[in-house]
Parts: sequence; structure tokens; C-alpha cells
Amino acid sequence: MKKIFTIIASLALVFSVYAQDARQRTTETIVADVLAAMPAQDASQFNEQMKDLAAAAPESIIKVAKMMKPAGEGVRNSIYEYALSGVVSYVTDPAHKDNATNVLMGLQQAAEACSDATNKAFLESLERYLKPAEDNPLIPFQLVKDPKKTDSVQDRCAAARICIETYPEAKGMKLLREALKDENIQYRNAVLGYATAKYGTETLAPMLIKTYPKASSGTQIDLLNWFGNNKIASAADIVYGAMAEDGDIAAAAICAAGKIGGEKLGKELINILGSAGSAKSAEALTALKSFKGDIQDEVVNALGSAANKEGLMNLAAARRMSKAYPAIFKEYQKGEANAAKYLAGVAGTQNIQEIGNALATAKSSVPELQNALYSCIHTFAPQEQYSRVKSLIDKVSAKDNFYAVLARTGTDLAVEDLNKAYSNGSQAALNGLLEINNFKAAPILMNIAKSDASKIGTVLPRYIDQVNAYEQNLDKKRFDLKDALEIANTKALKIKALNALAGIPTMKAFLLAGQYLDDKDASYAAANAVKNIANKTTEEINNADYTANLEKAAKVFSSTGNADDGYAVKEIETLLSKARQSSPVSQLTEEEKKQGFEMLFDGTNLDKFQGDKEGYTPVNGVIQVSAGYGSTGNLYTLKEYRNFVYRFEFRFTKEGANNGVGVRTPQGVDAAYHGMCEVQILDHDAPMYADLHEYQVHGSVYGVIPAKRIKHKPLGEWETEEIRVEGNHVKVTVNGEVIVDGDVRKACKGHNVAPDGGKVNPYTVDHKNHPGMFNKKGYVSFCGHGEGVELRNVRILDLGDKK
Amino acid sequence: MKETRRSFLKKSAAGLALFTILPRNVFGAMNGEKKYTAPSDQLTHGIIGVGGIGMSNLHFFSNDRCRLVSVCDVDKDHLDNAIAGGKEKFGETLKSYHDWRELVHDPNVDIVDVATPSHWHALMSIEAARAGKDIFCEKPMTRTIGEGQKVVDAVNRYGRMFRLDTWFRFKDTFYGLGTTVEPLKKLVDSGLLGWPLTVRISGATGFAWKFYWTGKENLVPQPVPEVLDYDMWLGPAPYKPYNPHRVHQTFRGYWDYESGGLGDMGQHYIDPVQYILGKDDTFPVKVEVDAPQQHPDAVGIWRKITYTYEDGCKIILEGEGFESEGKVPYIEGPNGKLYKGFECTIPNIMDKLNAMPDPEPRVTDFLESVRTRQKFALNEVNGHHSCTIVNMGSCALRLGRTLNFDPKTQRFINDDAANLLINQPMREPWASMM
Repeated sequence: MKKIFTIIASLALVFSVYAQDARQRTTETIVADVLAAMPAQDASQFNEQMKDLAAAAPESIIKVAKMMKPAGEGVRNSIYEYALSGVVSYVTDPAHKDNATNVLMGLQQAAEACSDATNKAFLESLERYLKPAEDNPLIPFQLVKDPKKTDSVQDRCAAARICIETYPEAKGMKLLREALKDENIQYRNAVLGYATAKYGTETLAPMLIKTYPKASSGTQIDLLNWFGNNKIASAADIVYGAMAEDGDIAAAAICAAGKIGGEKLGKELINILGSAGSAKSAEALTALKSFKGDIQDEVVNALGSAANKEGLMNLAAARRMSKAYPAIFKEYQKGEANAAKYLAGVAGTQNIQEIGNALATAKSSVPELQNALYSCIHTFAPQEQYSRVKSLIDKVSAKDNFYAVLARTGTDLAVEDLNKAYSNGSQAALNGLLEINNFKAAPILMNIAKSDASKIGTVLPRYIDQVNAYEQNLDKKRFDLKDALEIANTKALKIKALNALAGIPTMKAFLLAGQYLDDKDASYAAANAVKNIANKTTEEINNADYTANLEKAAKVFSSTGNADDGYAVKEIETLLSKARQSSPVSQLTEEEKKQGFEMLFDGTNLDKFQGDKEGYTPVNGVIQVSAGYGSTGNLYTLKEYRNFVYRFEFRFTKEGANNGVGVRTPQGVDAAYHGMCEVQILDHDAPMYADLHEYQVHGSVYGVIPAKRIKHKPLGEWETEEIRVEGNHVKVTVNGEVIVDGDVRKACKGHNVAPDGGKVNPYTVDHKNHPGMFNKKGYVSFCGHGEGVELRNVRILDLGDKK
Repeated sequence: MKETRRSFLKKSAAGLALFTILPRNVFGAMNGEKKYTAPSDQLTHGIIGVGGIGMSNLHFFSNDRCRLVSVCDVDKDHLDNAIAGGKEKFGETLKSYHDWRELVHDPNVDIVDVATPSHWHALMSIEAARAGKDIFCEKPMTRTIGEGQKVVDAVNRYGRMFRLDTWFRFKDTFYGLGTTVEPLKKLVDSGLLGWPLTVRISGATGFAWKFYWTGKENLVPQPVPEVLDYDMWLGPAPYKPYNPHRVHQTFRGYWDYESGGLGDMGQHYIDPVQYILGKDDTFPVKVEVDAPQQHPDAVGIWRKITYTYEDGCKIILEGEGFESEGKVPYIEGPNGKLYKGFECTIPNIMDKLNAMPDPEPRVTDFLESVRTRQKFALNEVNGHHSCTIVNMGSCALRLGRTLNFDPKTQRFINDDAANLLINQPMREPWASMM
């Protein structure tokens, strides 16, 4: 953790001192810190970063904007875009507007200096949010003066709307009356809409009711629709009268009657529904299904004498009118077509016996009566449902008609009964076993499938569904599905079983699915299963079978050429790269053991460290760092060291990530200055660090001894590092290459602080004071500077006092 | 001039009045039966945008009741494909246009299907209204709240009929609920769950947010394919260098054109909730987002978006991978919960609901709406309301903060930057057409 850029050049010095924030960071450092945190993962991180960036505006804005390059291969402008659009969002929040003017100034200067058209357009698009609010004005529509003097209906409508909006009421109403005489249906209805919006339904209703009798039939339909949509009760007489007409007028009136409601219209609707079948009775049924209020008695009365009983029975069933049961049952007994179908809607517990008797002897309408019987018992608890059906079954010899109802009780006893009946040869009982929602039926179905291959197609799908729905034990579920896969004899069955298997997030299920990746029928379903399980499992996954199966699955997906499967391939690639990155627990080598190295972090815990254990967390064998910059975001060894060899592995998971190793440092200070030194850990290959000084690059003794600038491995790959500290000598080796080998005292000619006691130290390469440089001992630390660094296999050799 | 059927219809309103004396069932979709239609009753339509959805049978159809006569696209490959499809499927020689304004002003077209990416929806709908056409527009209705306001105004001003293309508020199984919305509406109207209600739209309740529809950052400019008029594809959207990921199937990942999975699925999921909650005439007053910072161009993912209405009702969207654990109710009220598959904590709920009157019937056949001038079940007004909820969410995501909304003025409260997102800049000549 350190200040990345510190430029000691004439004006810039003045500038950076001016721009330093509460943490004494320069603008450059603030910018680097913000960029390293882009995009922010949540609101608090966002606000923290943007506050800093805004406070350092306009310079911070200009600096970020300058880093943008013309778009092209390998150019990654997005972090700058996140930062700039983010800071604009931040300062446009009424709670954070302090630096809005400075941000705008920065954007304007940056846009002026920007020569790339796309980037310039981006900067200018952000300026808009910071200029005094100026909305895009609505461009006024062209006015048309007289609605009568144009041919196009839409222009007449537009003109009429303006008139209605601007005319006094009397004149507006006159326009409406004229419009209602117009022969164009579009114009009539549009004007009716404008007038309704302007005057309200109460004002319009009396006028429209008066207009109705003299209106054309087309206008009457419009008015009937209007009366219905606006529920104009005072128009009930008109609506009532219109219901007696034919065609569209009657249809509109019936629809309006349903919406307006009331006793008179309700009775007439029922009357129409019960009249001999016509288009009108279908309209009446729709209207009555949504009719507000209790119409049960009228419907029951009408059922006695109506010509069209079907419509009334349909209505009674749809609205659960139990009082209609006797009438509908009577119709059933008379052999009225479809009456059985409606019984389910009206039957209740009091009708069990009657329906049971009917079912016992029924030769037709059996499914309808089964529904009706279930309807009678469905409000009981399952056991009670079972005993009711059971008592009916026990009394009859032809029991087949009851098995479907028995199955619907879903009880264990029903499973047993159905199994027995099936053993005795009842096909209806097998259907019951296929229907019943009870997991105890599953083993029976499996036995049937195993003993009679001709039934596999019938019973196996249901078996798989049952296992999928009910089996909670994941191992058991896998075994069940394995059984199913072994006897699955069609493509569809294999796919069904594999789709169910995909829901089991265990490695064993993964491997089972993997066995079907080469199956020509099921490879796609197997690939899906493999991918889904790999995504969901929390088990240890890093082994050769895992990667081999995933690679095979990716091939299956890529061979389809389907766009969505492209996403699946990407998903698998992500899973594979995670697998390659995950690490086993570390151990000391034999040689290290002999030399006396101590393991500080072997992948399991941070017991040998102290400090910020929230910012440093052991996850999957590595230390994940999320610690912030400052005196608190550090992780220290438990004891202090004088001379030592410190070895560890690190990798960057995010572009520009930053950390460091503090040497001989006290706790709670900035090790680069108050410790002996800090050895930089930095992804200096990130574009934002292109202009870094050598004394700031990875491995440098920060601000004191420059390092050879290495090229890091790609993001996500592990690198090794050794830091050897003896006396004033520091030697840093990364990936086997020595990049620093020097003496801190010699590097500053013995002047770790400015001889004049000032802030500028001409002897250190960063021109800063390093008061802790000659510490004889202290802790070894990791110095937090945001997230994106991971560490593992950390070990130390204590060399004590020996030189 | 020769008296064609169309010029007859346009000139003479009697032509329209004529329909009204025909038996309704000639053109009504009664009992789903297809009835014979006299040629003079046949409506016509033209499709703008014949890529993905425009080529689906939602738009690309031609039958007795409504004939497909023209198509338009800025991609020559799409257009050629549609012309071939017209021949093959309907035996029609479709008129084809490159510039949608010509299709909109084609006197042979009654209904304009807007099936382009959503940054075009408002402009095309408004111009179609101005040209006296009725409109069948793809969801999401508009890309900004302001565009929605202008569509509502134009459709009303010119006396047009408008249908938005999502349909769960009036038909089909509503995702994880395993029913149409009608029983949900009855359940809510019954008051049995109590009030206020919280609706959770989440993978856990059967609604996937399609997070793979995110954009890509650091796009590398590429040459525009010869068959594509990229400038016309962009239209009102800001000019950005071409990359194939911006257009066609993947355009949803960019704020300039839509808003990712939220834009794509949001109106499907949220529109029925407005209906169920009886909120069709209002909007939430607050939107809160929990999300990583959004890139200014490429749409990213989010964890949670919470909308709150004035009366305390809430709609909570849970992002893919951030769903609540355990058994999660779709609707939750003080007195009961409703889960996926219409599982309810209130016993025998279906009996209770069946005994209640159905919700009021609505016009769910757009051609009937066009003929009778009665508003379609999902029209510009309630469509604008539900689309505004989607757009409020994208505004809050883009700014990364909680926004408060005034349902009366349809403006954000005390947030100038958010209000700037209500109407976003358009390039000319398109801006002047709004």
C-alpha cells in the first residue's frame, strides 16, 4: 500500500500538495485507487470511491479522461468510463452535489482536449447531467382549426381534442352531439373519449341517455359500450331495451348489462342465458360469470323451466352454486347431455352418497362423476377423504370406477389398495398408481417396469417425476435415477432422467451424468446436467474427471451451433478456469523443512497472523484480500523478526490490484515510511500504471530501491516471490528472477530523513522521509490497498540476529 | 382515380359504419372459431422490423381477418427473408420498405406492427398514429418514461387503437404461478390476503431475469456489414461505432437501445402485477436498487430492485443468482401468502375464488378493438404505466441510487439527473418527429 505516483516536478508538486486529501494522497494516487476499485460492487464502495474522485476534481477528471484511448483491439477504456459516469452520478445526487461544478469543469476541459470522436462524445454526454436542468421540450403538434374541414380522421380527432380542451362547456357539448352523428366510428369514439376526460361521466350521462333513442345503430353501440365501461346505472332501461335487439346492439347491451349490474339487468341476463341457444346466450354467460352480486336463487329458479339448461348449468358450476345441485343432478338422471360435467362445480359433502351410487353403476360419464365425487370430499383431510371413498368401494363389486378418486386422496393406504387391485389385474388401479401423488407408489412403478418391459414407457416417466418431486436424500435420489437410466429404452426417457439428475448438486451425480456425454440420444441432456451440477455443487471438485467431463460437455454445446448454447460454453469455460485456479493445501518442501522454515499460511487458517482478519480471509486455500488502504488494512505476523527469508505465492484477480509486504514494521503505521520498508506488490501491467516510476513497480523497495520491471503472468495465474532481509540488505526474487538486490542505507547515502528536517528529502529516490528505515526489528505484514490480490503458501525462515 | 376498396374505406366513413350492422360473430373471435370474412371486412397490416420477434407468428401472420401486406427492415438479409416467407407461407407478394416512414404512410396499411428494438418504438408509434394507423407494438413499450407519455398523448390525440405485445394480463399461464392471472386478480380483490401486498418476481417464484442479456465493455469497432444500414438502425440513438454485439439479437445489452433482461422480461412480468394489484392508473413512488455499479453503455447485472407504492404495496425483483432462499411467496400479505403453482396458505382457496364473480371482461382481440374502437385489454395507457416501472428501474440502476417518483407529474422528486433520464436526447431528424 503506497502512493503510486509522486511526481517531483515544479508545478506538479505545488499541485499535488494542493490536491492531497485527508489521507495525504496525491490526485494521482486517488485516481489510481478509484480505478483499481472500478466497477464498484455496491453502494457503499461506490460512494467511498466517488467521493474521493469528486473531491479531487477537476484534476482527477482530466487525468482519468486522458487515460482513455481510441477504441481498438486490446484497449480497455471501461474502467475509465465507470469512473467518469460514476462520479457524474455521484455528484448529481442531491446529497453529494458539493463538487458538481468542478466535475463539470473537468469534463469540459477533458472533452476539449480529447481528439478521439467517440471518447469526446462520451465526455460530452456526461456534461449534460451537470448543466442546469433543461428538459427536451415537447414539440407542439400542428394545430388543425376546424375538425370538419379535413378528410383524414386522425386530423379531425386531433382538432376535436383541441376544441374540447379549449371550448366552453356548452360549445364542447355541442361538438360532442355533432360528433355522435358522424358516420365515422373512429371519430365518434375518439370525441366521446375526449369529452369524458374533460367533463366526467356524471355530466355526460344524461345527455348521452337523451341522445340514444335518436342515434344511428352504430352510435347506439358506441353509447352502450360507454354506458357499460362507465357503469352508468341510470342507463339501465336503455340497456335493458337494447338486450332485446339482435346482433351487435344486443351483444353490446349484454356486455354493458354485465358491467352495470343490478337486479333488473341480472334477471334479464339469466333469462337470455336460459333461452334457446343463440349467440346472445353465449354473450350472457360471459356477462354473468363476472356479474357482481348473488344471483344463485334466480339461476336455480330458471333451471327448472329454462329451454337452454346447458348455459345455466355452466354458469352454476363456474360460480360454485351449490343450491343448483339438485336440479343439475336431476338433469343428469334424465340423461341431459353434459349435466355430469357440471356436477363437480356444485356438489358438496352432503352429496357423497348420491354421487357414489351414480358412479358405482355408471357406464358413461365416468371421469365426470369421478370429478364430482372428488369435489364432494376435497375439503376433508386426506385420511378422511380415503375413508369416505373406501366405505363406498367396500359396498360395490365393480370397484374400477372408484380407483381414480382413491388415487386423488394421495394417501399411503390408497397406494396399498391400488397395488393390491393392480396385482389382481385391474388396469384402472394401474392408472391410479400413475396418478397418485405419493412417493410410496414409486417403488411399485419401478417393479412394474423391471418385470414387464412393455410397461416401461407407461410407468417410467411417472417414476422419474415422483423421485424428482419427493426424494430428499441426494444419494438415494441418484440411485433411483440410476435405476431409471439403466432401463430407459427411449431417447425421451433418458433425457427426462438426466434432467432430473441435473438437480442433484453432488459429484457422484456429476459423474453419473458424465457417463452419458457420449450417448447419441442423451449427450445434450447430459451436458446440461454436468454444467448445472458443476455450477451448484459445493463439494470439492478439483480432479481430472471433473475437468474431463466439463470439457466434453463444452464440446457437446459448441457442436449445436445454437446461440444460447454459446452461453453454456462460456459458463463451462468459467467453471474450468476456476477449477484450474483452485489450490490444494500447501506444505513445506523437504529442503525448507531442513532449513527450518515455518509455514504461516498453508491454505486453512490465519492463526499465525494478526490484524485485519476481515480484509484478509482464507477461502478455498488462498488468502483473499479485500482490505482497504490505511493504517488498519494490514495483516501482521504474530511475532517480530530481525533477519528473515519470506516466501509466498501471489496472483492478481483484477487488473491493477495493489498490496505490499511491510518489513520490520510496527503495527498500525504505514510500513513504507515507518517500517524499514515496504516491498511493492502491484499489477503494474495495467494500462493505468504505464507511467509508473521504477521505484514504484512490483518488487521495488517502495520509494527507496527501484526494481527491474518484470512482465507479470496473466491475471489469475500464480507467481512466486522471496524476500530476503539481512541487516540493511534487501533481495527480492520473483518467479526465480532477482529483481532487487540492494542496501537501503547505501541507497539513501545514510539519509533516511532530510538533513534539514524538512518534508523533501533529496537523498531518497522518492524525495520523501523514511523515518523507520533503520528499524532493527519489527513485524512482517501484508499491506492492504483494495481487493484483487490473492496469496497462498506463505512461509518464513527466521534468521534471527545472524548476518 | 380507380375506386379501390382502401380509398373507399378512407374516404367514406360509411364504409366503417357498414361493419356495425353485420352480425358481430362475423368478425368476433367467438369461441375461438375462425369465421368466413368478406374481403371488404379484411384489415391489413405491415411489420416494421422483421428480425427476431417480427418474424414470429405473433406478427408474421396473414389470414382472412387481417392480411399482411408490407414489411420493412434496415437489414437487407432480414427483408429478403421476410419477402421469401410471405411467398412461401401466405402466397403474398409483400411490399417491402427500407425506410419505415414509407410503410407507415402506405395507404394500404391499417395496422402497423412495431417490432424493432425499443429505441424506435415511440417514434414509430407516434408517426403511425399521426398517419391514422392503429398500432401493435412490441414490449417494452418505450425506452424512456417521456417517450411513453408522448405515445399515450399521440394515440389519444389521433383517436387510434394501440395494443402492446405482452399478454399475461389477459391470457396464458403466468410463468411460475401455473395459472392465468384471473385467479390471482380474484384472490387480491377478495381481500383475503390483507393489505398492503408484496409481490416477489424472482427465480424463486418462477420468473427468470435472463442475465445473459448483458452488454460487453471495450467493444472493438468493426466495419458495418454491407447489408445493414447501421445509421438507420441506430436512428434516434447516439452514434457509436459498429460492433455486431450492439445490433440484432444482442442489442438489449446496451442502455442506448434497451435495458437487458429487465427491459426484455420486465414488462412481461410487471404488467400483470399492475393489473392484479389494481394499480393500472398509478405508479410506485419509490425505487431502490441493489446492484454493482453500471457501465454507462453496457447493461450489467443487479441483485435486487424494490418498488414501493404510496399505500405500501411493493414489487421486489430478485436478480438471477440472488434469489431469496427457502420457500418464497409470490404474493405476501398480512393475512396470507401465495406461492408458485398457486399454492396458498388460505385453505380451499380455489373454492372461495370460484364462488366470486370473474374479473370484468376485457377486449382481448385486437382486431375487434380496431373495429369497435373499444380499448384493447393492454393498451397505451396501462402499457405506459407498467413500462414506466421498468424504466424507473433502469434509471435507478444507471444512477446507482434510490429514486422517488411523483405519480401525478410523472417526474422524479428532487433529482435533476434522474429527470434528465425521463427524456433522453435523440439524433435528428428523429428528435423533431417526437
